[in-house]
Amino acid sequence: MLTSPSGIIGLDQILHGGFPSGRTTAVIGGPGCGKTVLAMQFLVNGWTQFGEPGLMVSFEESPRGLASNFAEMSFRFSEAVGAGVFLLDGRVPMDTIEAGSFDLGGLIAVVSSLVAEHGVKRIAIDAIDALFGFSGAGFRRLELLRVLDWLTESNLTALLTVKGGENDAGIPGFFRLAEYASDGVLQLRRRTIGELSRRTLSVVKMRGAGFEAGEHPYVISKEGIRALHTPMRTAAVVQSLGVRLSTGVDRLDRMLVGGYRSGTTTLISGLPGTAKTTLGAAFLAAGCRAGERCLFIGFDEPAEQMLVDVRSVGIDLEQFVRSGLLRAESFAGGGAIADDHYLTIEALLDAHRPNRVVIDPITALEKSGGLEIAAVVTERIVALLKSRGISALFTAVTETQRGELEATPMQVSTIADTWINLSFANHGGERNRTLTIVKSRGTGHSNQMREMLLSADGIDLTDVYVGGGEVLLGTARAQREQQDVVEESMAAVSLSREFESLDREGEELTVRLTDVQRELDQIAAHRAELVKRTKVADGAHARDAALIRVLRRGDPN
Amino acid sequence: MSSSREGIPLLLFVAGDAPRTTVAVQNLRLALTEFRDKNFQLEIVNVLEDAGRAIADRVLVTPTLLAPESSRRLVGDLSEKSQLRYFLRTIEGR
Repeated sequence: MLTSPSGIIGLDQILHGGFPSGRTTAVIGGPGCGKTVLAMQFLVNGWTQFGEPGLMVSFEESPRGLASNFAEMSFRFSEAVGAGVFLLDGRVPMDTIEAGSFDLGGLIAVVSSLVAEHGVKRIAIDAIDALFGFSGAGFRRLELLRVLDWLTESNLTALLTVKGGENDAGIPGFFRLAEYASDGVLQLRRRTIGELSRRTLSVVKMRGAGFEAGEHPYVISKEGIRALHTPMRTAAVVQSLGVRLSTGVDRLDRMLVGGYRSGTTTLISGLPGTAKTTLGAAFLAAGCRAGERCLFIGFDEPAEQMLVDVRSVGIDLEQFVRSGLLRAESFAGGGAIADDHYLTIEALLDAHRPNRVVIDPITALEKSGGLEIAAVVTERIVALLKSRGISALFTAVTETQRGELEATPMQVSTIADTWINLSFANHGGERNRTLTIVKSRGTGHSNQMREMLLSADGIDLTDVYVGGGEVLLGTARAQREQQDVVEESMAAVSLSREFESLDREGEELTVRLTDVQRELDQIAAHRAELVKRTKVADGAHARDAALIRVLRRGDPN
Repeated sequence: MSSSREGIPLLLFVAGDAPRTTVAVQNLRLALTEFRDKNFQLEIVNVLEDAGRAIADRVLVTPTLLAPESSRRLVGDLSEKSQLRYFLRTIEGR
């Protein structure tokens, strides 16, 4: 189906090109949703970008009122009005009294003549319900259908704005009728969260045309309406693994087999004061040194303060700000709805075109409309960064030490490619910083905890003491290591002593063994002498014995 | 500005010869005979032929009866006779 682009960023992508050409789409929403802004942008962009003349039939606002509302906005209203966009005052004049049945024959006649005169292709009928405020339901139904029929016959691409929705401020049931009778329905919603407004739009139906289902956040600013459409599907496509980028910390590079992968998202989580920002700054400094463009987005703390703070640990980012490689911006997390922050970030990406981005801390978005919205927007930011191949590092503030590894707020940890957790270990009256790589996709990373040391020379990581079933850091680690050295040398000394004494004993025994052997030899020699002498005597004795036995008549032996 | 000698101007905007046009014209003529109709000067405007005048006078619903001097207007086929009489009396009284 042919579409007529609205020229509204995000909306045309959601509508797969634009509003269906030659069809009527109802734009339904409560007060303050920006229905008129949307309709006017559709017309102004239609003329200035696509050369299609448009007609605005305004039932609530006078042409003068419209002019003063839109003159301040940055889309080209003033340029278009009178040249290619025409305004028709449709307000019911004061002092109008109803006296019998009537119809919109006049409206159709007037609009037909303007369409013919200016070659109008696009028309917006703004708040047609205002016209029906003073008449019966039967009239509304018939006349609305009549207008819609006429629009279809005229082959105009039309927007029909109608009040309605959850907090229905319009005529009861009228928006249902408009919803039913139009070819397409775009629903705008606004809800208030705390002191912030959040706006979303969804396509209820679009006959014969494709669209992105679901609720899409949008914002209204001086530029008009801008919808958040993140190419989620594109971003989900498995990307080839990027090259290694230095983390800015040598030892961490080695732990990660070279560094973070380019185009991926790294999460640094940790309690306040665990030097998350410092790791982010190191990442940016490494990028700038390699000539890459970098962007720092800080929440709730001035970016200038960050620049000063990291100088104390030997990271000089100010030189890169001056050279234009690094742009550092800061915002108040609770100052706007998370959707606004998304668009601000998108605009900064467009303006600075960075290779590396640090958002510090991403968890500040929780203050921008709550956890649920923050989680959705964070996911969109990740998808946006990935779709542009940007290497990103987010910091996340965890509230408690317990359970921080199980989950980070907003589920950032699940979408991050690399997750590093920073913590404190309390021991012997010291708090020492620790660093653990919780996960790193596509990397055979080290799973060992490291102690993180900050000094004026920068960040260093050292092995932690693991022994006797305990992990020691800081002074305790140093002491224990020293103690081990002493113990080891003492053990060596006593061992050599033992060897010596054994050797000595062995030598003594060998000497004694020689003496004993000599004695044994002497005894043996003496015996042999005795045996020799005894043999001679034995022979005489045997003869004597035989003689005696014969003499005594004894038994033979 | 207008002179009362020529009567008070009245404009009836209609969309061609639609059924409501006929009803409205009949109702108005009948009501005017009850008044001294020389006091009014009626003009019927067909918006299908003269959209420019409808735009100028901001007439988007038909039929519309407009008293241009006082900017008062009645919309509908004028079948609510009491409303129509009240309207004409108010105009005439000025």
